[in-house]
Amino acid sequence: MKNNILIYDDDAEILLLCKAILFKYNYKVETLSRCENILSDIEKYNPGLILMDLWIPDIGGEKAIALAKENKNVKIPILIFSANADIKDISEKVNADGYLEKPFTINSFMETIKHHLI
Amino acid sequence: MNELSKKTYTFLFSVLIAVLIIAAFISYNKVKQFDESVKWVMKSEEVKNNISEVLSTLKDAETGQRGYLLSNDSLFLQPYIGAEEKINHLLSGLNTMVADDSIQHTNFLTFKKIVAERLFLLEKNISILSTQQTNAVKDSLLLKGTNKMDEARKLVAFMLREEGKTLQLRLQTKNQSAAITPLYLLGFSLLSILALALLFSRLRKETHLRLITQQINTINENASKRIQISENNLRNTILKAPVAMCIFKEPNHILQLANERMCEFFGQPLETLINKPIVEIMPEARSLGLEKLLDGVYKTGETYSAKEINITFLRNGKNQNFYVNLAYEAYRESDGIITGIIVVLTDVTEQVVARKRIEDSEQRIRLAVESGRLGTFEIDIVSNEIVFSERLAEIFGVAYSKETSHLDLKEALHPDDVAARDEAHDISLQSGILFYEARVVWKDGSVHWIRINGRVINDNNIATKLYGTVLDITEEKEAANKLAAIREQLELTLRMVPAAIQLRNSKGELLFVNDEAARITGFSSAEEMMKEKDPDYVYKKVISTVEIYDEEGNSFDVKSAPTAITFSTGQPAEATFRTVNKHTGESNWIMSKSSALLDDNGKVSMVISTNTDITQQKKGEQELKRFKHMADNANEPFILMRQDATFAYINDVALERWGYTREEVKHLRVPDVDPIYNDEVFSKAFAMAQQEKIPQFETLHKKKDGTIYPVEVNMSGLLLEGKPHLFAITIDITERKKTEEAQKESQKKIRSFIVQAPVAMCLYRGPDHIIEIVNKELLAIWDKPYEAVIGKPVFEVLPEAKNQGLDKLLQKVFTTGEKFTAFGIPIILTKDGKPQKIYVNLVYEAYRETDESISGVVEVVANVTEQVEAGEKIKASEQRFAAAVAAVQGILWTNNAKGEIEGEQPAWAALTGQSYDEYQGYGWAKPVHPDDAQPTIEAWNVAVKERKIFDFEHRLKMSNGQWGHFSIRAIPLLNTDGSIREWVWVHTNITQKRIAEETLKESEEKFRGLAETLPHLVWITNEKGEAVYASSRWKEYSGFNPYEVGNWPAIIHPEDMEPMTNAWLGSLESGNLYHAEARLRNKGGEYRWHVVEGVPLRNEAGKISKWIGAFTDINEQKLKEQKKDEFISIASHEMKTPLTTAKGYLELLLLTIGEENPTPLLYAQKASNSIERLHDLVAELLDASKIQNGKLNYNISTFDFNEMLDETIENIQRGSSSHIITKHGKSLHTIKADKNRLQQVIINLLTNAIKYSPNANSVLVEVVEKENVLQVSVKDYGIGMNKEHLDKIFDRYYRVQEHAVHFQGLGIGLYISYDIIKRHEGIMWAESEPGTGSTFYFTIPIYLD
Repeated sequence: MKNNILIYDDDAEILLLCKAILFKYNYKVETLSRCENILSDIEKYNPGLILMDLWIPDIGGEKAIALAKENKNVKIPILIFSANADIKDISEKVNADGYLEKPFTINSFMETIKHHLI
Repeated sequence: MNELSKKTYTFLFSVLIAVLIIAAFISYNKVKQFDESVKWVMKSEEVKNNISEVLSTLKDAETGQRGYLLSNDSLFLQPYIGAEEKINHLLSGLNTMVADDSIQHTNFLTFKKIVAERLFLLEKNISILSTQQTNAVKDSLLLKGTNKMDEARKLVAFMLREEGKTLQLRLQTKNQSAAITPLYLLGFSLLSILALALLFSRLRKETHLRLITQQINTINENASKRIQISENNLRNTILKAPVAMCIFKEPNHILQLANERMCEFFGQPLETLINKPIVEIMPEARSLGLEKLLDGVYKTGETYSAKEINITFLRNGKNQNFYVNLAYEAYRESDGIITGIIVVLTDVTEQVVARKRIEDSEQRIRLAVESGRLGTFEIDIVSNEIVFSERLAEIFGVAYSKETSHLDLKEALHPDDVAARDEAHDISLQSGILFYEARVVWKDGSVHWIRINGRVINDNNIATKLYGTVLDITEEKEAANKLAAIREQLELTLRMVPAAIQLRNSKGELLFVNDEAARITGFSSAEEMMKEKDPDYVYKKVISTVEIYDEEGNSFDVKSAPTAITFSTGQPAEATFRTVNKHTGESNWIMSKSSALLDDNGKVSMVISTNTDITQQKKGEQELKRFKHMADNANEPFILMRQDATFAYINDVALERWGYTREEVKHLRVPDVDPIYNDEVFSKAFAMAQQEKIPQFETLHKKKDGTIYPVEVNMSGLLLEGKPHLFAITIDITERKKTEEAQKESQKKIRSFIVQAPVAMCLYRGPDHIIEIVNKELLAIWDKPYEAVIGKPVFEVLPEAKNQGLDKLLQKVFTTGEKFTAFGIPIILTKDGKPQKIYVNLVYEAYRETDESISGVVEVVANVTEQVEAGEKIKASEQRFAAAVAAVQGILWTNNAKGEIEGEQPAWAALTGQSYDEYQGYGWAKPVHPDDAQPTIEAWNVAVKERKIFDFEHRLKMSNGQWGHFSIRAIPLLNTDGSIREWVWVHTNITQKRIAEETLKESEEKFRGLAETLPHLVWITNEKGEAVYASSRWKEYSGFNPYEVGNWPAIIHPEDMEPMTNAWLGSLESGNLYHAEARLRNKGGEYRWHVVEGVPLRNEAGKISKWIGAFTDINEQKLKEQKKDEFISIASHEMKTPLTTAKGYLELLLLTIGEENPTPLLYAQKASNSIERLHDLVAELLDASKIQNGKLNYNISTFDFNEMLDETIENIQRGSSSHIITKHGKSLHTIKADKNRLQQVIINLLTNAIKYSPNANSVLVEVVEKENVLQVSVKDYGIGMNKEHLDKIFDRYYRVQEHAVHFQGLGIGLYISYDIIKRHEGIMWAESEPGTGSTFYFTIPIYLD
């Protein structure tokens, strides 16, 4: 099982919080605030799980996921990571592997990550 | 003489005496024997005479009856009267005479029976004649009588032969006796030498013989005398007959006897005619076929008779036309052999000609009457039967046929007018005059006014007939009704506009106010508000009822309202403000607009102000339908389609039926499997299914291998995951179709045969003889309408036929298949409630299926009953048309072919006041209005030239000096050569109608003027939805004329077109209020939101006559709402991001602090709780906003309700130490719902219960399962609330005012809960008592499949 996680979000505070929690539980974290280079990012970091914000520059989370899923070499699970109330529907629509709703409790955050990590 | 000789002499003498005595004795015996044999001979003669006389009497009686039947003259009945008594007397004598002869006695008994039967037939025939019968019936009766007579004749001939034989024997015996007796006497006389004895005996014999001869002669004389009498009777009958009669004898018809009338008819005296054959007397007889007819009668003995035959023959060197009734009757000798023909002839020429003349005049009067566009009728008051004209049927809107009864006409009347009609009829029986006006309702629902005029005809002071006319006066009446409708229209328009409307005059006094305006202002109704004239009072009332705020929330002064501004400036004004009712706390947003109507000086004459309540919310989307459970267990193909015609789901049955694999189906679309449902049809059906229920229909499906088969489809639309879908269940109906086709074909053949047959026919089906097919001819005989008999057992329809044994006959044919045929049988059928006897030829024949089984019976009937006598009809016709002319509306007058009046025209004189001299010639044109004179003449010249009906309107100066409007109709009556004989004119006064039309026009203009001043876009359509009026604001707003349908797409926003059109079509069909929202494009190209509402206006019959409606601009509030929702959506998302970090760090903080630092831990915990609540509030706000836009999504799944409830209670319990939550009862089934949303509802109810019962310590949850519904209640023992709040607590942002201070929150939780439960097809409500607590309930439906 890998233990490195790639998080895309344009809010620095969120990224910092996630890092704090995940470090506490001994995970490695890479954070990015733009998503258009997702394919090269994956190649570069080879993460075990990706959290993707929905409203993120430059192309938006939805398109970024589509880009990743089109590439058959990418087997990494990607979770939608958003404050949008319709997150569940959106995750199905964009073919994501799951979702993480904001706000979250540390407990649920960690459970979800453990569940999807490869 | 010696002793010896004396002795010898004595001896001899003694011997002689003895011999003499012996001889005398023997002679006496022989003579006695002879005398008896003579008596026997006499008796036989008497028997023969007696029989002949019976026959002769019978024949006389028959001849008499025949004469009576043919001529209908009772003089002929003389020989018949008393014949029976005489015959009975003769027969009783005959009975004693033949008592000792066993053979003759048997014959006698048969003879007596035949004679009795014949007498019975005579009596029956004569009695039947008195009831009118057809010639065919008469002929059949006569034939029966003739046959019986032939039988009698044959028997008599036989009896006479028998008696002749007996007589022969008796004469022989008599002759023997006569021969032997004298020999004896002579022998003994010789022996006794006493010649005297011989002389004596001879003398005796002589005497006897003379007596006998005398008696025999008397007998023979009597017989021939009787024959002579019989011949003379016939002769006398013919000579004295009141009709022309004659006898032809021998095969070539030689005239033997003719009475004077017959000679007159032949045109020659009897002397020149007698003993000449028919062809010499009347050379035309051969060409007219009369000779052939005579030949036939002579040969067959069958009577021939005919009525009203038209004969033309030479009379006084001229061809003359005659109509005669004719009868040929065989003349028979006593032995039954035909030796001649009796001819009876009645000249009915005058009668026929008279009738034809009346028919002609009838035609002429009918023309005149109908020229006034009048319907005519004639009622038999006794039987209540009616005869009426085609025009009357047209006016009444009923079928012009004999089946249409008086009752049908009465039923056509408007129910409210029947009482008036009955009263008018009652009065007419007293006064003799019928007059009333009423409405008739046609089958299409339209209402027409009629005016009835009639006259009652009395016969011996008893009202017998009612003749009358009917005029359609709808136009006249409608004009008056329209006037009232216009007023109603205006008021309705103003009431209906979804706004408060007030109309004020220049002083500010109210002219009109609708209920909505009254309500907003604080009055209970428009009527109450209208009572108050003082504008200040209304103002005070308003400010005492409501607090008013402007859009910024500042207090708003009513005196600066648009109405006030318009009053002072004369300019339109508008403003938006919020009102809060001081008593109820009810809050409304109002959009107020006003505009003024200026007078010629530019001053305000009237102000219209409208206040529109714009708080109303758009109704939520349609409820989500359930789908899955239907698919699971379907036995039939089950298909779910998407809007793009692809398949979202197909069950296994459907796959198997079509022959596709599940994979293949993914690439298929509806048009691939249904050749009828191409893209266009499918998208239409799809759209329709989303709006309404689609009825079951049939279509074709195509399998993978190309086979096409018919299916029956049940289809409906549903929403799945927020998207419209269409689901269908299809059933293969191939077999059913095939069977139906085969049955239809066979049925069609027999049906068309029966329906087209020129004779009365029908088909009875099954053992109950259900009438399956019946044609018009048979319905006419039955006197029943088609609807009353079809599909019913025949003997239920005609119970009287069953009593006559027809059921047994029909049943026999149905069971055995043997054909039954009968001719001329009498049947009694009920006609107009009375039994009526008709004669029919009847055939029943079994109807067999293709497998030869009998499934029904075909009946063929020919009615052989004749029509009613012509004479009575003529009389009725004369009376009818005299009455009709008297009842004609308007003025009837005539002038000649050139248009000149010749002679007296009283009706014209009364109308115009012109004197006789003034109107002669072309004088009648003078009273015509000068402006109309020239057009009248021009139109009249055209009519004269073309010889056509002249229809025109012009003004006439009437006798009272005033001008009247008249409609004119003149009809040319033509001579046989086509030239005009005369003109029949009808002048009908239409002045009233004209005035009404003018008034109507004015009133309509007034209405439009008012509608034009309204700021709304007012419209009116007809009942079909076609525009008939649009206020000029339309053009002002859009720059287009909305009358033209083509302009609509340019005005309505493309996205709103379809829902709006659907709503409109839906209202047109249902007649319900029309409501829709749409964006309308204005002149500047800007789309603005409008709400449209329309109401149907109904006529007296309850039928929609038009729709009135208006569009109201709601753009501003619509846009504001949209912006607000958008703002909330973005704001809540943006708020969540800092919430996430705050929450995360707080949690990390909590983990870091640890139990050992209780105070920091408590602070961190409190901060965390606040963050949690802030998050809940943000979520609620977003939910509420989504409900507004109908965008709240639902995730339906099947789950265990108990588990969810327990879990939720546990969570809430954990957060509350102050209250103990107790649960009773449980759900017995799993439920289908959105689990998270339901949980949200329960959390909301529980937190409310705890929040609003700060002084209590328990909350009670109860779960009950009732009929297919799960009911959950949450009870608290808290502060409770008043009734007035109960209804509003489910509104958005509503919070009980007095609680606001103590309790926090936005108060939208209940609003969201309420909506969630509603979307689950459940109900939510509350019960509460201030101070004791509240109970909140909700229900969720349970689907047990």
